[in-house]
Amino acid sequence: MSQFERDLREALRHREPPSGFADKVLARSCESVTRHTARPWLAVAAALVLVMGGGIFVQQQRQHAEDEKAKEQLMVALRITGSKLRNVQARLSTIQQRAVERQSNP
Amino acid sequence: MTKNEFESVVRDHQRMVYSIACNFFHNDAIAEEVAQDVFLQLFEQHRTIQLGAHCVAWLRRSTVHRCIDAMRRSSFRQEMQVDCMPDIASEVPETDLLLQEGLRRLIASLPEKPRTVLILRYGEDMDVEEIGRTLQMPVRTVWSHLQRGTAMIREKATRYLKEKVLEGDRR
Amino acid sequence: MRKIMFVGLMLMAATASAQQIDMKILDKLAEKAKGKTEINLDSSMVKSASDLLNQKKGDEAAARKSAKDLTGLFLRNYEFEMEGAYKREDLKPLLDQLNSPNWTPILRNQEEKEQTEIWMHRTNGQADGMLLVSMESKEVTVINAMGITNIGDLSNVGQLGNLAGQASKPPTKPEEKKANDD
Repeated sequence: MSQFERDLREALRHREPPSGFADKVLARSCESVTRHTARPWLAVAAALVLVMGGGIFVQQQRQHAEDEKAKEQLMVALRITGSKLRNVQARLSTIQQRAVERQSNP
Repeated sequence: MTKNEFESVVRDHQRMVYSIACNFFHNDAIAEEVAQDVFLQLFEQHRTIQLGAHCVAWLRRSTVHRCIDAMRRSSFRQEMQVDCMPDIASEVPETDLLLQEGLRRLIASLPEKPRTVLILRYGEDMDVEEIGRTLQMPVRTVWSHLQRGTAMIREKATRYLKEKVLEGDRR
Repeated sequence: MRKIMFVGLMLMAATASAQQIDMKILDKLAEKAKGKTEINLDSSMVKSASDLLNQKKGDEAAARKSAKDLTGLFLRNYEFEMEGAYKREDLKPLLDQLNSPNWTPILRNQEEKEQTEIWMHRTNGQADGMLLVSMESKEVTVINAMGITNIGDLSNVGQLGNLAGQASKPPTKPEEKKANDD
């Protein structure tokens, strides 16, 4: 495979959908169940199942949304931490370098 | 496919579906809308679709068709002639990482069929036979679109790189 | 200098007993800041968050490694409009907590307008946390990483290498890519 083709592959690699995408799809699929049902008794039964199962589902959705937020926060916090530590490391390297230079050029 | 299985399918394949749509339009909002519609369509037909390779193939096919349909509606029309393609050289990207962004824009501005074929070939790693089956197109037609699409992008990318080299020389 | 807007990231207030250092006393300093980032992640939140990180995706993979031993991560970052908007004395209530025998100074680096201190927390002689305090002319950052025994574990996230590595990694075969991504 040529470099150009590798670049194309890299450009077209998979990426994450926006946060909460799956939850939105699942929520819309629930709506479509209630909307599309023509028979009244089926609608009532479906609604009952949804109410009973929906509570758990909504709780799961909420939990997942919270987990996604926590993930974003974790990334932000770790990036800031990494950046500060690397700054310190860089400054220490400079100090060390200067000390070595002073020793070799008294 | 049960409802729980449907949920698993959504979580397992959302990246693939969203990525195909995103690469097609280079527009997150449209990609998200199309991707959601694909999964809703899957939900409506979930009883007839088996899990596994059958489902993945269905999702790819459906995503591509929805992207093409959306593109054909005038509001999403992005197809352009080569000469009218956006001139990415004017954006003066600072790093090579943005070359990928440039490539994505170029791909999203290709005509419908070369664009689709390129995305399936390089984004989904499908071979030409698979692409032909997905798009119901003869293999030689797939090759033709692949070559045409890559030629268009090379031509534009080469033009951009020359600009970059010239800018580098001027500095 | 990073421009970080205040986004109201307090999902769950961790009790003082769960933290190695009380960050609430920085609230007065926060009032003077024009930009704030405040993050409180206790151990269950760190675990839930790191479970969602992609093991194969550059920066997220590095973060997953970094978070392996984390039992809590608490961060305060404040940006100020002008130099002199805050004084070192504003951090005294925080720094006074480090007089406890559980805290050992590891590093203090002071240059013209910047000072960084790194402290290790020990419980029964075992290292189990880190505190970083960075004071710049217009920015203050305080980070308490609980559970950390090796400071180096935290310095990998956000490196350009993670992004460049992602961009330049050799192409995988079609079978590998499908297995990896889906």
